[in-house]
This record gives sequence, C-alpha cells and structure tokens, in this order.
Amino acid sequence: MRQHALSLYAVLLLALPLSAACSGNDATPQQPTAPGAMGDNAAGAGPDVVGAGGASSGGTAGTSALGGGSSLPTNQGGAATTECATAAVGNRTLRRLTALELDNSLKDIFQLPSWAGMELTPDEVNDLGFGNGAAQLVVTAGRGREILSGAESLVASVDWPTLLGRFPECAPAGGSPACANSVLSGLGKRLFRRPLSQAELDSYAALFAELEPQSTFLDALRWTTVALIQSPHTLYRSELGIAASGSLTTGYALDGYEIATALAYTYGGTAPSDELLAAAERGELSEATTRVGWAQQLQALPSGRAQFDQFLQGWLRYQDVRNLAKSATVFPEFSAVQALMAEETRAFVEQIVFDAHGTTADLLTSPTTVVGDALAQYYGFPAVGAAMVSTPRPTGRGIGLLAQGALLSKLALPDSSSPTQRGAFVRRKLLCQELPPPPANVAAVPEFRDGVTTRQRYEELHTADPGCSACHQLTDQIGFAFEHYDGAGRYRDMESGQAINAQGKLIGKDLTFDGQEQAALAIAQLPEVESCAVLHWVSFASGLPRSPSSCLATQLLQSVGANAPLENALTGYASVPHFTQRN
Amino acid sequence: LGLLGLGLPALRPSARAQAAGRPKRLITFFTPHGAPAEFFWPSDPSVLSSSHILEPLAAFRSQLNVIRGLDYIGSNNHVAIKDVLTNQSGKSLDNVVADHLADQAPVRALHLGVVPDYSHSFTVDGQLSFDPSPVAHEADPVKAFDELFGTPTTPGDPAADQAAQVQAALRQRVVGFTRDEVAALADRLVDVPSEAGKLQAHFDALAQLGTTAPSQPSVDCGAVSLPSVEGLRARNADPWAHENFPDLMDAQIDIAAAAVRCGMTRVVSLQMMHVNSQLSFAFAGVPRGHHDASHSSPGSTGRMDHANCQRFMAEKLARLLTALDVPDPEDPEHTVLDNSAVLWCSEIGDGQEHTCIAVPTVIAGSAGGVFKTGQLVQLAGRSHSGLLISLSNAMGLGLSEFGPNSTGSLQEIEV
Repeated sequence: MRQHALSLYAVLLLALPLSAACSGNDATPQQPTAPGAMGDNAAGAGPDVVGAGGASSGGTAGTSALGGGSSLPTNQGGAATTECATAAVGNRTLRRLTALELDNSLKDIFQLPSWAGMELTPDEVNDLGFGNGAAQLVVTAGRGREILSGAESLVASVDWPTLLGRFPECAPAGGSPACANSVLSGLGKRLFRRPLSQAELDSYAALFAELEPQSTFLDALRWTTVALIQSPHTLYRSELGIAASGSLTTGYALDGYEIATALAYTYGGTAPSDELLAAAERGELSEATTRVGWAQQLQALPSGRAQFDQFLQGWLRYQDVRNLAKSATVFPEFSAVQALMAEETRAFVEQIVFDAHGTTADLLTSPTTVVGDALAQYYGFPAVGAAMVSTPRPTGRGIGLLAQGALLSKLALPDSSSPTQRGAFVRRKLLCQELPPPPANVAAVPEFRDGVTTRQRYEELHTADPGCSACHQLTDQIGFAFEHYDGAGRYRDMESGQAINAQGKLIGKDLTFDGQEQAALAIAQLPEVESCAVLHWVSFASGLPRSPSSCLATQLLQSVGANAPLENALTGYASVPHFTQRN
Repeated sequence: LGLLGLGLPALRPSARAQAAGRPKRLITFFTPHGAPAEFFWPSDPSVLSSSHILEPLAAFRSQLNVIRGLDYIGSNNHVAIKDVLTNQSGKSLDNVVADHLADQAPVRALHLGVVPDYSHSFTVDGQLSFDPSPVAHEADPVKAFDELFGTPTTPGDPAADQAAQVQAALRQRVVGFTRDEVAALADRLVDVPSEAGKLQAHFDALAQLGTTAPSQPSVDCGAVSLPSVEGLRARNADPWAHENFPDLMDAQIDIAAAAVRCGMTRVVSLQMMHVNSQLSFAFAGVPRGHHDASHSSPGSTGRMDHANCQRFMAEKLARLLTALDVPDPEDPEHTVLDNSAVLWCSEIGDGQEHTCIAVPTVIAGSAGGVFKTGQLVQLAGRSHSGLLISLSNAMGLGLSEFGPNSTGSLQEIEV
C-alpha cells in the first residue's frame, strides 16, 4: 500500500509544476499529507515561480512546459490494492481517551448525565481526518491542566452521600478506611476498566490515608478520586497485551479486560459496563463470535449510534454544514435549514446502514433521504409531515449520499457551487486517493457574469488553460456532474439563463456520466468505494493512520466479503486478529 | 545579553541596561491569507493612512514598524502557517520566549484563537504554535477567561487563604502521585519506544503542572470584568460559529490585554481564523468568504473585499494596542505597549499569489526600548529568521539563528 500510494503521488506531482497559474480558489480543507510529499510540493512550486509571472494577468505561466500535461495519472490507487506481507496486526499501544470518550465514561461511571464535561481543547486529527488517532492523543501540559481541573469539577459535582450509599462498607456514617478503600476499589475498577492490582489498591489506600489528616474524610476521598480520574490507567486505553503463550508463538495477546475496553469504546464511545467487564472476567471475549455479538448489541444502543456518528463526522465532515456562512443575497433561505441538513445526513446514513442493512454502494445509490416538511419544502419535495422520515426522493432529484444537501452545500463556495471541491471529495473520501494541495501562485476563478454558468467560469480558467487542467480535470470533471445542485444543495435546471450541462467524467477510470445520478451509480460500482469506506472505519476504530490501517481493512474486507452490508464490516472488525493481538 | 553578542554598536550601554531591566511582553497576532499588496503597503511611506488596511492603526503610527520584504524562504502556500513562527525550526517563537520568561508570570503563555480551525477540530490548517508538537489555541473566550480570572482569591481573608493553601497542597500531592504512576507505567514500556515517549511527554506535562504553581510569583489581577466576555457568556454563544467572529475576537483581545496588563502572562499568541478559512465577512460589508476573497485578481472587486477584511483585522489590532497603551503597573514610566512587541503576521504574502514573499509584517511597541519605532522598513527580500531572532533577543534571549537561512537579527528595527 505504501509503495502504491507513493507512486500515485509521484505521478500527481509530475503534474504540479504545470499548474503554476492554477487556481487554489477552491481549496478544500487540506488533510495532512505525507511530510515527504509536502516537502516535494513546496520545492516544486517554490517562490521562483513568481518570477514566471502570469498569475496576476489571469495565468498563462508555464505554457512551454505543457507538453507534459498528457502524462496524467490513469491508475488511481484505492485502498483495496494493498499488499500486506504479514498478518495484519498493529503494534502495542496506549490510546488516550478522546475528550468525548472521557466525558462519556465519567458521566456513566459517576452517574452524572448532565455534568458539563471537561471541555478539553480539540485534539489534532490524523491523516484521514479523525480526531481519535492514537499517535495524536497525548497529554500536553495544557491538556493535563484541563484534565486536572475537569476532574476537580467532577468530584465537586458528585453527590457523595448517594455514591457512598452504594457501598455497604460505608453504611455507618462518618467514614472509615474500609469505606474509602471499597469506594476507591469500586470506582477504580470502572475507571481502569479492570480490577486494580493489590499493589495499586495499597497505593491508593496509602494516598487516602496520607491526605485525610490534612483535610477531612470526604475531601481526602475527593482528591484520591481525582488521582484515579487522571491516572494513566484511566486516561489511556491499554492495548499492550501480554507476551505470547499458548496458541500464539510470537507477539502479544490482549487480555479480556483490554478486549472489553476496545469493544466498549469502539462500539459505544464509553467505558465498559459492569456486564461487559464480567464477560471479560469469565474469559468469554476470546471468542470472535461473542465479540461480534457484543459489538452488535453495543452498536444498537443510543450510545452506539452516537459513536457511529462520530465516525461519520470524521469521515464525511457533514456536520460542517452547520457552520457554513453563505451569501444571504444568493442563498437567503439556507440559514433556516442548515442544521436540518446535518440531521438529514446523519439519519439517512443510519437508516441505510442499520435499518436497511445496506452496502456502501447502497449508501451512494439509495433513492431515499430523510426529511421533514421544512427541508422538503426547501428542496421542492412533496410534503411529508413535520417529523423527519425516510422518504423516496422525487424522480430525477438525485440519489444517495452525494445528493445530500449537507455535502453539496459544504462542497461549495459561499455564493456558488464548487465542482473542484465536489470532485476532490469523491477522490479523497470515497476513493481514498491522495491529492496534492493547491499550488502557489494561483489565479482566481472569474467572477460572476450575467449569462455565464459556474461550469463555464471553471472551464474558462481551469480547463481552457492547460496549465490548470493538469490537476483540475481530476476533480472538476467529476464535480461538473453535480451542477444541477447549487451551492446550497438545491436542484436547478438553469443557471444564468442557460440549461445546466452536467456531463462529467472520472479520469483514470474511464467513466463518463451525465448528472448526479449517473455519476453516483458509476462511482458506486468501483471496488475502491467499499474498501475506502472500510479503510476509514478501520482507521477510526483502531486509532491508526492510513498506513497500517489499509492492511487491516483489506483483511477485514476479505473476511466479510465484497458487497456485504456495511454493518457487517463495522461489527466484523471485532473479529479480525488485530482486535485481540499485537506485534 | 545576546544583543551584545550580536555586536550592535547602536545600542548604548545605558539604554541597553535600561531596556534589559524593563518587563517585556510578546504578543503575536496571526491573521491568514496575507493581504492585497496595493492596499497594504502605504503608498506614501511617511503617511500610514495612505494604506487602506493600516489606516486604523494611524493613531499608533509612532509606535510601529511596518516591515516590507520579509520572505519565508522554503515555505509556500497556506501550509506555511506552520513556518510563520518557527521558520522550520520545530519550535515557535511564542514557546521559545515563553520558556525564557517562564519564571516571570504564573501563566507561561496564553494561546487564544478565534474560530482557529474547522468546527471543533485541530487540523494542519489551524496549527500555528509548536512546542514542538502543535499547541491548540483555546477557541472559547469564556473558558479562557474563567481559567485565568475565574477564581479570584480574596486577599485579606486569612481563613480563605489558608483553605486555598490546603487545597493547593492536596492538589500538589495528587499530581505527584499521578506522575509516579506515569513513570512506573513508562518503565514497563521500555521496549515500546513510541508509547514510552508518550508517557515521557505526559510526565513532563505533569511536572510543569506540579511545579509551576508554588514557585511562580502570584499575581493579583483584582476583579477582572470584561463586557465582551460577559456578553458571550450571557447569550451562551457558540465559539465555533462564524457569525460570532467579531464578538469572539473582541473578547479574546480583551482577555489577552487584561492578562498582559496585570502580569498574569508575558506571552500571548492570538490566532484569528485558520488558513483556508471561508469565514464570511458579511459583518465588514464583504459578501464572500475570507479565503475566496483573498484569491481575487488585482483590479477586481474581490480585491477590495479582501482589503476590507484585513482592514477589519487592523481595527481589531488597534483595539488591542489601545488596551495596552496604559501605564505599565510594573514600570509606570512606560506603557505596557511600549514594553511589548506585538507582531502582526500572516502565512503568505499577497493573498492572490499564495507565495511567502513580502509577507505583511507589522510590529507595534518597542519591546522596552529595544526597537526603533515609527518607521516603514523596506528590505530587498530577507529571510524572516531575522525577525524571529530580533523578537527573541528583545525578550532577553541571545540567539544568532532561528531556523535555516539565518543571517543574524533584523538590525533595521533595532535601536
């Protein structure tokens, strides 16, 4: 995979110097790319291109180099073309809980559902855009301070008399060392997601005994609880395992509690329940079918759906629609529906994946969406009632994920659509291709003129100027197929007095299409679409970056089979070797 | 001092000694997407108001260095946000200076952002500060305010003081306990270097937590009340919502100024937006997103739109400078502003070209008498390492290089 990805990158980079006058006006949010590749890009389009001029006059720089423009990438890499020499198992790791996982866990364990949470500063995202990458989740000084003050705020919110009432040792009022130790042992087991060792119990008992004379019984208990909360055994999910024995000849096997922890966070975003810990204690989680059963059970809970939505948000970033600022003159009705669009996409995907047991292809081609009257009216659909329900789209009004208002609006500019962003989304998020960032020395897309369509404006700059087309035909030619949808997700037949031309193509795959529906059907047939979705899921679930997630994804896809319901891959992840083993 | 080491003859001993003794502050003020050159550089070098963008700073003309001709060599396009304060050295100016001044204020450095990334994210597009891992800027002014000023001690109440001391001692003990746990876990992972490294960073972080509080000078900021912050609090404003941008900006600026004035911190990094941000500047009369506007060709209406966006930024910078233009409580003969270096910086030069050539750069304040002020400095293309060296040394360091292509400090701005 690594080699494959790099060679693709090299091909794309060949095209870069040609596009010195190319527009970056459409830059989509850049995902982190391989450091080496970024450096190459900086060198290739360095400050010297300014001397070549042309940018300020609309861009004719580099025409002499355009002969090379014919060597465009034709073999686009997906996630499926992976060669994984060894069994796909990752390394031993500690995974710091994300802000959300930490808050969820503490709310559950302390039974404080309305506690405000620690409000940790967001963590850095990984190379696939997920905020739960194991390498990124570290405890900096700032994060350490936030966790400490969050823990203090939590223990101040706890109703201690009620909590103590859960422990028989605390029945006589006033507090005793036995009471404190049983509380610490009980809370500790939930927080550490395993029973504390005797040495750990002794250590916490000693801390409590040291603090109590300096304050009060309750104060000492609160502070010792703060120590439990900010303990590395609470903050980090252990995926360290124990050295090989029995059937394993090398590597490490995760213990039952580590497996329970992985199940609980992967499928519920929170700490394992007492029941799951009991299953771990009984040794039941070494069975793959048992794990998958737990995964299904956890995923069906509201917390499981919320966790799946975390995955969707990282993958598709569809919630960005909530914060889009559109031109109030061009799209005056948008602000009233943008939150509804986010809800539409969440509910749509959930409906396809969990209710309809759909495949990845179904996600792209389903003739339905989820709207209530407010959104239906905005889109020009028939009334369906106030509540949001799954409903067929009117004929000719799009299919699947790529017709979702949330994505069409997000992949657009404040006053118009963006074929570039829409095409880049297909390549990056659905085909898992890596695109270079926009080059420097860029020219603007020509501004609105009466009688000129968005497509014509883009063609004028990107396509008509071969210096731009090297990169932009890779994206824009896909995006043109979505031109029936304006920058706020609404269908249109005409723009600027002209009929929409929605013919597009996917260069490198020899696919041509006319309009969103044909494009979605064609893209959905590509095997990369399924492997790319699974790659994103595996990266989210494992906390690993693109590599080595791609190898784990290949293995998972082989085990569930192609064109299987997507939920099989989601829960099937609990059965792959990586779920219980480490190198 | 490093200034001596650099052999600057212009700095007379008396001025140097005086400058060295003054309380120094560094504030960086980052705005993305450069600026349209013809609206940024004053057409008449002697008249600041001949720049459409800089005109709102005219009242501070005598305290400014407007520096034209600084290049980020080897950097390009928006990804240069990571190079603005590091010059590819791995560690950014704010953190280099914060380490040096760490014993002078309770808060080592303040990182405040205004919609500093995509909603609730921390991507490469929002990574400006490095220590050496990326440091996020706090997006929520209410949270930042409460952390800085929220639990005012009540001096003169012995009982409360004593209770606070007891709690501080307990906190200290608990942090030490956790540090031992982290160390013990790290000991078990010597054969897994990546994870042991994580725990080492965690251990170091706790060491900072555990030791800073008692050894730091305590500062009494009094009862701080900022209407801009309370306004956001009252309406429970979403710190990631674009429409709140002007109010968020006011609040973060006011917090920064208040914290600097009362000695709570010596170093502030303010990050306005992130690169590639399409934040709508409708509030400044600009009917398009910021990044979109920055790409406009000279002569187009979009060009003026971008200029108006950046003029809005200059107005907010003036708000900051105004708040600092008060007698320094630690040095009443001078203003806080005069004892500061406030750096306005961006990741690219002219927004339309997206190169790191002639990046718009403004410094306000003399850093306690170290910088000449009231000048437009024209350079014939120079690495911005010199700027970072001069700013570091003005804060008391003695650097001779800051990343690659270092050719000494920026003597044109030094006394």
